[in-house]
Amino acid sequence: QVQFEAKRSMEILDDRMVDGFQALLMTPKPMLRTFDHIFHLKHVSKLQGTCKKMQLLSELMDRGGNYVAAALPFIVSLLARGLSQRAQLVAHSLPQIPEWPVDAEPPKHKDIGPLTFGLLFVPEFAASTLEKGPQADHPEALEFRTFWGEKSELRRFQDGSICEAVVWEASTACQKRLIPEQIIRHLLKLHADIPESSICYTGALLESVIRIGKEAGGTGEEAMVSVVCSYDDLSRKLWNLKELPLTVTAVQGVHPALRYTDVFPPIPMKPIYSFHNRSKHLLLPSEEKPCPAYITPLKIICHMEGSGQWPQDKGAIKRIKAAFHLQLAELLRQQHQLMCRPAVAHTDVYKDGYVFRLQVAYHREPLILKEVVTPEGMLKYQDTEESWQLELETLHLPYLTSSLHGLQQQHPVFGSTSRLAKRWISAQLLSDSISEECVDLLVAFLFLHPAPFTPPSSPQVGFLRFLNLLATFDWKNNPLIVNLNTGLTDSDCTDIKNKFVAARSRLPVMFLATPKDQWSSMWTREHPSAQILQRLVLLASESLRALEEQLTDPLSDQDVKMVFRPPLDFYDVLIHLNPNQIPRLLESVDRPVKSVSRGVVKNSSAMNILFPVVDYDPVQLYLQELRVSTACWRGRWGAEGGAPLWLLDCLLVQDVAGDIFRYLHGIGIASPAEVLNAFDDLALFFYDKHGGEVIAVLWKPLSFQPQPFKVSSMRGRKVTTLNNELVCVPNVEAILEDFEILGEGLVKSVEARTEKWTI
Amino acid sequence: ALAVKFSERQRSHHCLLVKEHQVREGADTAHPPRRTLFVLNVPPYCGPDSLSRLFSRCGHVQSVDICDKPGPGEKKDKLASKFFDHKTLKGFQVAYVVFRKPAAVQAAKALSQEGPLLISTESHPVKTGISKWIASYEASIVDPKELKAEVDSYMQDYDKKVAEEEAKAAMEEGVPDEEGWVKVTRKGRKPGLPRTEAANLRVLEKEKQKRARKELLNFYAWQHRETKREHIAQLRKKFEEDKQRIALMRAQRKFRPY
Repeated sequence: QVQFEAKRSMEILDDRMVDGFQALLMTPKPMLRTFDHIFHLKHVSKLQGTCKKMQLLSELMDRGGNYVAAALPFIVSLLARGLSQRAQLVAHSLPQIPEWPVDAEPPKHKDIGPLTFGLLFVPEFAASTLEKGPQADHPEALEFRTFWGEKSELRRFQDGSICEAVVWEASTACQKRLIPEQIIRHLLKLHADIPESSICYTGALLESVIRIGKEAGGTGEEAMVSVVCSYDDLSRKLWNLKELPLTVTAVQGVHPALRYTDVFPPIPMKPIYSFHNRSKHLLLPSEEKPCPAYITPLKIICHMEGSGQWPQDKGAIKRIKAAFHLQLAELLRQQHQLMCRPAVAHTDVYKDGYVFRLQVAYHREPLILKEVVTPEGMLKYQDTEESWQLELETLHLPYLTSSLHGLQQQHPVFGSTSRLAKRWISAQLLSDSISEECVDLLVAFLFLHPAPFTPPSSPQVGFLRFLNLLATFDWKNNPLIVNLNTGLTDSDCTDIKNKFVAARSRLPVMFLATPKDQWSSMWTREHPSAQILQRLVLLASESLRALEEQLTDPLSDQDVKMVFRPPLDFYDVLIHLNPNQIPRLLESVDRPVKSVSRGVVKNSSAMNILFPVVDYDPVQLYLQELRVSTACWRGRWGAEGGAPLWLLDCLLVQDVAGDIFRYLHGIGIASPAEVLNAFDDLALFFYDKHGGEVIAVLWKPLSFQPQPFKVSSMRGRKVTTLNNELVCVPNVEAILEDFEILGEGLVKSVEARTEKWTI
Repeated sequence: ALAVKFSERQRSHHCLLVKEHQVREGADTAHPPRRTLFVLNVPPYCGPDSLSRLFSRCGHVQSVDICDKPGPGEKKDKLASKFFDHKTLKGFQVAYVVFRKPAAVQAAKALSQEGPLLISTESHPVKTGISKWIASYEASIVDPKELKAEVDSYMQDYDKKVAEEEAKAAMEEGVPDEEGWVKVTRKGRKPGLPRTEAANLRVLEKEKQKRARKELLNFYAWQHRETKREHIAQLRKKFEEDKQRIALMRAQRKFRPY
């Protein structure tokens, strides 16, 4: 182990992009976060039996009867031999010898507590199901057979040789990751006489939150692979499409499922007609029945070949794109018999049970949107909100998707780690405050700059390191540089750091730099805000602490999913939703026992049927309406955007069960007008988009203060007199009833925690 | 202030504030000053038909205009396209209700004595929630033929417009206006520079470079003194910046062995 660590440390010191001193000498490396899988040996006294079985009596005498110290090196070498190609390193925790007073008996050997073993995997071989041994007629075959016991069998291979081999049962990717567990249990039982009950394996406890379907369905990696296959097939069909006025040159996927990081990837579905209302060849959701299953449209961007004939006017470009969508739908239907439904800004294609959303992109459109004619008649290019959105979607997102796709091929657990991280964030009701691309980049950072660890080979350890990153990184003073495809050199990095320090107050609160996006951190430009970032940091450190306690203590039987349940007692109003109308209920952390039929047949597809109901999620529509109804005219934040940094210095008050945080006015407010504009919103809404049943509402305290009567601030408020002056105060009862009205049919009840706030 | 409720079941009400519409500058034709009621705090589920129904008891309603912010009304003469001009969701809004007779405005102001008005009743229910979302999903499905027809007609108009502009530009080429100036456009024999900011900056850069070449920097005695003074000032400034940077680094230092 010392050799391995020394080699790794040399690599880190040689790498100039990482601060070697900080990484090597100041970062603690607990076993839980260093090793991919760990397991505990609960009953240390069983090692006595080991000594007898492995005939270590002479070593026992050497150590004066300390069977733990005698048996440990042999066990480690046994495991290392069993995991020969899979594991780079097998290590154990150092036994802690407790102190004892001088006049008492020394503690027995078994009182040192449970032993922990850690395994570091080689990603390519860790999940292979076959252990190939020597040929049957070699003398080593006998050794192999005695080592593996009854599990080894004679098998004939494709190259004609007959060898001893051990085959492990595993079909899905997550089961394959647990093969080392099977190996260890078998070997320890066979050679060291340690029963299975003494081993507590903690390699994969967290994966149940990203499991879809029934238990044997695996954690969705296979589903994503099939989505990507279907997408490849569609893109080939698009390239070869004839009779288009301009041929398709590039097809790029933009949806997270196409970069393996969608939390619950889509499964092929076919609608059941009787469940829906039909109205002239349209399938519509019906009001009486539960809401149909959510079918997510997988967005794809198509670039056409260059041509000088595109119009230079915004309205005309939109209409030309609509004409292209119509044409694409028509041709796909004729030439490939795919069901399509064109719309103004996209075309939906139903293929293999998935729905793909094609959008045509013209590369000069953002430029044309940015054109502004100054009063002197000069043409200037200025970034507008619309052009920014368009650029993000058509230029940057496809590039990010393809880079992360490449990263997934290098590190097979990248997708699962990212999915766990996103699931945790949305379980803490913060999924709308931090974008998916941001989380993907954070997880990519863990794989690209893992110093002082090695890149993770199991989703659980990746998730723990993600929580650690969120909790301990100094967001205020350091940019997080993610070196995708090694596009950045050392001088670039120092450049980025210098510019960051110089412009800190204008930049977003969380700064992520990638090779293509070195100065502006486009993914975190609007979210998260400073308060949300503080909350994330707090939640991450608490969750990490709780998880570490649970996982390092083999005798604890607490539910590991505790960190995926948000503390609800801190919010002001809770809106309970009707479970029938939540399409993604099955994705929730505590899956309901009975599930409702949602009008689709899973895992089947058909041709020539009516188009299913796509992208219909009542809860998201409701949330949009809620946010708009409590919003006010938002002023602009400032020239370059970005939340005011001063909020990072606000105090936080923590209590035992959850967290309460208050905003206190910090020092150096950017400008009072901006502050007032942002706090005109009445409330913040939080929701877990994967099947949450509750929407949590937090009132903004500043907006509850009575304000003088002004036409512009009169929204949802009522007029009262306070000290003989006309002021307006939010009309809270009416607003609460508005929540119910706007969500007619969806809202089961609105629970207002009136003991927490007064007007 | 008028109290208004969504339906019988609600216990509390919103207050619609009404006022006679007066405008300081000019008169706009859309909201004639003596006949218009200015309504504030219109809830999002109250549409123009509900408002006209509510106020129809005061007098005949000529038109209702709902907007986000109070401002002069504009007559929308181009027909907004059903497909391309998206209506975004609105929160609490502001409305202008135009009556046919001015007396109705006074009657509306007197309405507050009666009980709260209901927006959605049995005879005219207002859809919210699931039914509204299903309806809007249905409305969002586009008929390809309609879309194609509209796109074709728009592009025909656009092509015609572009062709007209080109023809006009070609006609005006080289023709002096009344003072004798000839406009330089991109089409003529001598096209000028494009009128963009980038081109402007390029020209200015070139000018600066030319001037810099002709300048003599070491000629006068005061120039020597000035360069030395500036050099020292710059060094001082850099030193201050470095001091601040080092102070920041020292404050952030995490390894404190003492």
